Amino acid sequence: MTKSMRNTLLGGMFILLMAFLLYRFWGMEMTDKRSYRISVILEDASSERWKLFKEGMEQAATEYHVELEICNINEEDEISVQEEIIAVQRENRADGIILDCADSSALNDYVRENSSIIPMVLVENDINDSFSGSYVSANNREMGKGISECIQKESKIGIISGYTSRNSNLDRLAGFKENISEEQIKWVLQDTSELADYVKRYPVDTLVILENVVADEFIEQMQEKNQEGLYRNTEIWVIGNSNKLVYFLDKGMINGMVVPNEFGMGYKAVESVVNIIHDNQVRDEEVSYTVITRENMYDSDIQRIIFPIVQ
Amino acid sequence: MNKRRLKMAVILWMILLCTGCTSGNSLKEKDSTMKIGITIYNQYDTFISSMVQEIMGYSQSMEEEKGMKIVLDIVSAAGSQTEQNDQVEKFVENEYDIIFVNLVDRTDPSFIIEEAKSAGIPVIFFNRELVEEDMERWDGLYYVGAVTVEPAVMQGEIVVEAYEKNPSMDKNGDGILQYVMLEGEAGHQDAIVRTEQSVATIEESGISLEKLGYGIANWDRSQAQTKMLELYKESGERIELVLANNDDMALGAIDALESLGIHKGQWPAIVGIDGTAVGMEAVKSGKMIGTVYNDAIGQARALMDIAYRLFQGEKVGEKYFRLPHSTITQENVMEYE
Amino acid sequence: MKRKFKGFMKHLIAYYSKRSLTLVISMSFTLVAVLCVGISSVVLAGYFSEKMEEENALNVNRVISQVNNSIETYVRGMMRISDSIYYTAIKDIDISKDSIAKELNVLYEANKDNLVSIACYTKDGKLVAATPVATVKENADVTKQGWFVTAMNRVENLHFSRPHVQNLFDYNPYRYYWVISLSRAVIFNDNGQNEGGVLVVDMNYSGIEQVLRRMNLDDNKEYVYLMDGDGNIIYHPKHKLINAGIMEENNLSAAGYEDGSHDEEFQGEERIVTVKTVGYTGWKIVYVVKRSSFEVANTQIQWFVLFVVLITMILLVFVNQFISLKVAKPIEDLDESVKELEKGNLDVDIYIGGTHEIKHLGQTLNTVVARLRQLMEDVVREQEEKRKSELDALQSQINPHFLYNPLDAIVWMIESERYEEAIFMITQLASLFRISLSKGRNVISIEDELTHAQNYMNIQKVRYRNKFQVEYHIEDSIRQYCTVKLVIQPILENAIYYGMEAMDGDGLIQVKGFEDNGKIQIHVIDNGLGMSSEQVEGLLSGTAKQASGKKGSGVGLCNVHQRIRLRFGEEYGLKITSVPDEGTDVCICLPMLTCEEYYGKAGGKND
Repeated sequence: MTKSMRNTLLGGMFILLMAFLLYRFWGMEMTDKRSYRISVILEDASSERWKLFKEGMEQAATEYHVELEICNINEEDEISVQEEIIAVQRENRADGIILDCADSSALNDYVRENSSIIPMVLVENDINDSFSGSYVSANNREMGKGISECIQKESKIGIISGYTSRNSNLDRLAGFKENISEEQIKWVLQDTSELADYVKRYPVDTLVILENVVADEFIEQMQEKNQEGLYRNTEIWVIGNSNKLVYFLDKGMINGMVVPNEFGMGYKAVESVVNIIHDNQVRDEEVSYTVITRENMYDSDIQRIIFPIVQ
Repeated sequence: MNKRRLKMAVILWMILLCTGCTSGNSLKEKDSTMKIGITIYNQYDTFISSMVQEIMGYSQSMEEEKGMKIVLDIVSAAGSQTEQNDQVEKFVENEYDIIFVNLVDRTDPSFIIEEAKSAGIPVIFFNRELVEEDMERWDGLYYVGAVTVEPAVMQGEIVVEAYEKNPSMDKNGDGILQYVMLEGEAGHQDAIVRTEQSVATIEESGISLEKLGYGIANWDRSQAQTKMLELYKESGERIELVLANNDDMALGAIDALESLGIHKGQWPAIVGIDGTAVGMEAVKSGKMIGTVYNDAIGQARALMDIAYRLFQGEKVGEKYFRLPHSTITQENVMEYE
Repeated sequence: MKRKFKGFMKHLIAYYSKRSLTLVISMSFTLVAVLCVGISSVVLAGYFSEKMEEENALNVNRVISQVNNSIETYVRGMMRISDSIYYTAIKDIDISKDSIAKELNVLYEANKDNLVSIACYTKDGKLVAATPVATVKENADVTKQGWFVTAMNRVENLHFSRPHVQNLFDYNPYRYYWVISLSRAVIFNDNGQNEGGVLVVDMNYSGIEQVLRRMNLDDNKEYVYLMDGDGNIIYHPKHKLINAGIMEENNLSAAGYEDGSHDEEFQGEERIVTVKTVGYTGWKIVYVVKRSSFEVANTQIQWFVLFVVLITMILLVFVNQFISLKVAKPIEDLDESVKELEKGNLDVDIYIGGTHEIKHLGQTLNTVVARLRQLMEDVVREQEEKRKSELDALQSQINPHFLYNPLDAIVWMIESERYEEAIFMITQLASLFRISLSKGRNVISIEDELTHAQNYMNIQKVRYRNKFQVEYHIEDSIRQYCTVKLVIQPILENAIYYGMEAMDGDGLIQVKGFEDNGKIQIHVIDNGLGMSSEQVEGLLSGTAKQASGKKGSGVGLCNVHQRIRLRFGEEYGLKITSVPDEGTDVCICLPMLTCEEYYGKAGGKND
């Protein structure tokens, strides 16, 4: 083979290779996006309260070609455990993290630091300081305020706010208190451990539960200890959405629910992570919420929220 | 010199071409992750739900113990075999390691068997049993469940014992126990066996039975409640014994009686099978005279253990894993809490 | 414009034709191949594109009819149940006395795969019978529910509701069903009275949901959804997103479309929407295909085409190289060789290579050049020889040695006072030398040549007294033609020295000249010793001893022969016939050319 022929062969192969690679990566890029891996860290991840949230995430995951990995933290876990999980996920080259932050102040620094290293989205609950990730939630303050507008005026109110280590609960409480005078509020508890006592000692007309997890706890307690009678005359309003709550709403044991758009939250959470990864676009997203009562719970648009379709 | 350069260039080119061929999916799962797909026939079945809960809990502790990652994908077929077939197909497509199947229609496992066989993914059926011929179709099929006849016999024995201890069960004292039967699904193997065998056991012990009526309640509590109401409307206080194929239906019968406001003293003896938490509650409170414990916990753990062994590449010789039952009455219900 | 174009084309063609062969072949070949590949690719791509769209349309129709069939089956099932209950159960009984629970149970068990419940209510909303669950929910006001209201409003029809959560019975805690209700107004027989009521059959929504879900692949590019006659969505693959407010669908507009395909634009995207109305219910199946799906596939095709074109180009280059090596370059090399030739370099190595035609060209050229070289060498040699002959002849013209004898004889004659003989000798000599010179010309008339010969013989006769005789027989006609000078005399010289030596007075030399067959023949015949054929050959080739030499005139027979041939051609010259002891005949063969004719030709100029 003469020199020129060999040169041509080499040149030809080179061009072919370039074209091939181009075709593969650019041409295919148009039709096939790369697959991202997002770690989702939730407190009590397998609990029913995350069902809609997960569905929203999965819907977005299929659309954006994302692989979701769900990590669980237990309520009792120390802050260090949570930090560890975040670290582990980061080291495993996850492309992004969605975090249900258990403690707004204790995890503040850690989250803030990590948010600049890896794309991070906080859902429902944020941290004290600003950070380099996005925050997706319903407007907690508005939800609290929304409840305050539904309850009877001039009633005695007892509140279970959920752990105040979460800013989301504090916001809801603050929102609730906006239109309510301090004297109306008889007591504010963080969980249901002492609830029965308080109710007996300081009876109230209205019970307001500001958080999904404690709302479910409340229902369980009521069932186990057969305390339905205790609350027969109490108007109960909750923020949250679960099968049990809906059942009790239907039965009339609960008067109303404020339900954040969990599906939307899950969907937008994934979307936000992808936006940060792709375009470095950090933007907080707000999802809507709905006030549901026994009267409107079977309305066609409300139905869909509290009765998610089949599995 | 030139020839060598040429060769090197060709080799380099080949390598680059090959890397271009792989579609950049570098994010493969680590090898120590076990992916299990679980499809249940109905998410509202109490027994099955408790099994699922146990599977989830047990897999978490298994993760910690073995230092591996376990991914569980749990879906409900909502009573549709076609739906379940689709779900299994998806599991196979996504290359799951093991599949647990709680069959909707036990006479129709063909699709699932074929899918799993051609993909080489082992399937462990549980709780709803398929026929032996179908199990023989492939090596990779397993079954975890209970002995079919045993619970029915035990149910019968509970009644016999209770009758011996408390003959006032025979309310009208005619030496015959008048009973109604609440059956599971029409044509369901378990329903048939339980129905026949519990009655047979009682009769073998010498007690005479008279069937006043029966209702098919599809293992469902509210349906059982409705059926019980109908049966009660017909036979009323004459009913001395209520035999239910499972706890949920027994509880439905209890619901019916409570809704009718009948005083507990007038109630017929009610007995179920399963030993679910609510069932045991009812036994504890005396509303049921007893139930037969179906080891949900044991079965769930068996499923996970077998899955783990298969995942490690072990050849599991046995196909059937049956866990024994035990009777629960008011005396020993504490032990099961 | 046109002129510019023409001018451009002209330039192009001129440019084109000036380029080298390699370039021309390369360019033409490349151009043609690229055009062909390009055109066929584009055509094919277009064809495929079209085919794809057709396939897609077919597929859409197939899917829609499948969905349609499934839904119709589903719906018909519901209707049949409703009819059976009404016509076989309800109409038969008196609700104040009998119960239809058993019939309802049977029907339920037979259809329970998709059936959630069957229930009958009086027009006041009181439950008459239901299966499988009859425990009524306390706060559910049936008379306000949609299916009830529509049934009571339009009593003659069957009414299909939208999917909704059933709000009738108390199920297992937390259990709810999404159903589609088929309701109708019925007439009960209540103790002989006709009472109005509603029969409602609730089918499991998941039945429809599964049918449609299966038809929807996880594809953003096309999907199918179901809506009722007013445009309310019954099933949509992105249902949850729409409910959550994240996505929108153009269902309300689609409700207004006729059955068939429509192009529409929604949220900036172009789509093709195909609608089909399901029987009985007025529901519409809507299949949406986004135009961009074609584009993506198109893009893929385009990329593929580009890829193919690129590969072709590379192959082309390769093939070009090959052709160049085999064809164009050899021709160019051959051309180079020819250029060298043109410069006059006859020793050039002609390039032999390439295809066999080119090799052949090269070889032939080689042969031609070799031939040319040879010819030129021949010419040069001839010229050389000519020059040598001439030089010899020139030398002989004035050969001092030849002078001695005659001059001696003249001195003797004068001393002997034989003046007449002396004068004769001198005049003969003068004439001999005059003609020898012939003013430098080499071709003279035969007349003159004869005179020269006679002069010579006369001189020799004085020397060789009576040793021989000479006779001349020349036709007059030939005297005007020409001959090379000094041809007869050397022959006579030879004849004298070799032929006449042995003769003692009997020697006879004849000189004959005549025309023969368009040629002139001059014979010099002697009856002397003769010679063998070897000697004859030797004489003509110049190898034999000759009379010429130092003592003679210096011009040999060979020289004569060559000079004649050089001047006139190879068919002329000397021909010697000799028989030993008998004699020799030397024939001089000449063309019939006059001196004017000879000197008129170009060759004459060199003389």
